[in-house]
Amino acid sequence: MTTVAVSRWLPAEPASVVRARRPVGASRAARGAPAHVDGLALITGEPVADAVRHAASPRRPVPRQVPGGTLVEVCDEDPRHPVVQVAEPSGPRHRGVFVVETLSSTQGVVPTTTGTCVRAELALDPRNTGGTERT
Amino acid sequence: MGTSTTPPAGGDEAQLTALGTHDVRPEFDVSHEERDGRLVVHVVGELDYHTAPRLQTYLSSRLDRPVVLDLEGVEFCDSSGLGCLVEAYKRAGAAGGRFSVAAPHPFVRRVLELTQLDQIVPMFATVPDALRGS
Repeated sequence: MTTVAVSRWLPAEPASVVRARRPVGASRAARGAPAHVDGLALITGEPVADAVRHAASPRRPVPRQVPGGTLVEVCDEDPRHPVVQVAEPSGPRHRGVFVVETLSSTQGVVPTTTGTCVRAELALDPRNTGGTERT
Repeated sequence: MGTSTTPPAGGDEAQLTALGTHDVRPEFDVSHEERDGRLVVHVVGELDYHTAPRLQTYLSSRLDRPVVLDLEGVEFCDSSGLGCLVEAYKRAGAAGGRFSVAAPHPFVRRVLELTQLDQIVPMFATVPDALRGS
């Protein structure tokens, strides 16, 4: 029998975005509603991409069911807080934090002893639980 | 000989940790065809921080003519994917071409609307609609 040691931390490389996002969508906390799963994947992937973009290794995010929604926390060891940057209407960048803030019912950045955690909660509202939306 | 994963399955954290050991390359493919003198580029998979540069590279040499980007096969798009669409739109304008997107999934369309990119990049419900409108 071979034992695979699994790190709680993701490497600072682009593939870590899907490494973080896909399991979150498949988790029990995602509750299976397609639009909620997509939203959860987005609010997970954006801070992970931001961490990787700044060469930080994020901790593997774990969604948690909370009353009325799902909470995702993405932590890394970069002490800098992500900030909303105003994207030029026709500019290619700076929409990630805006997307997370817009989709989330609550969102914030919490400093830790070693870095920061981005917390975002996605509400289970009718728009996010539209199980028949995707065809 | 079997393979086990530590820690053992137990809550969501153990479940996610186990899933994280799988091959997680994002599904992504891009191809194109000529239709009515226009280029229809078909994308299949997830358009994200990992794959958007590939699409940008694919499009960059093809934007001197009308291009319709068929998003019917794209089930997920993040801000990097959005940035790729904006960049293609701008490059097409600079190269004398035209760029539009067609058939976005409801969630992708919602993200385009949230970021108001639907007011920048022409968006159509179907590829034939885009071909008629481009």
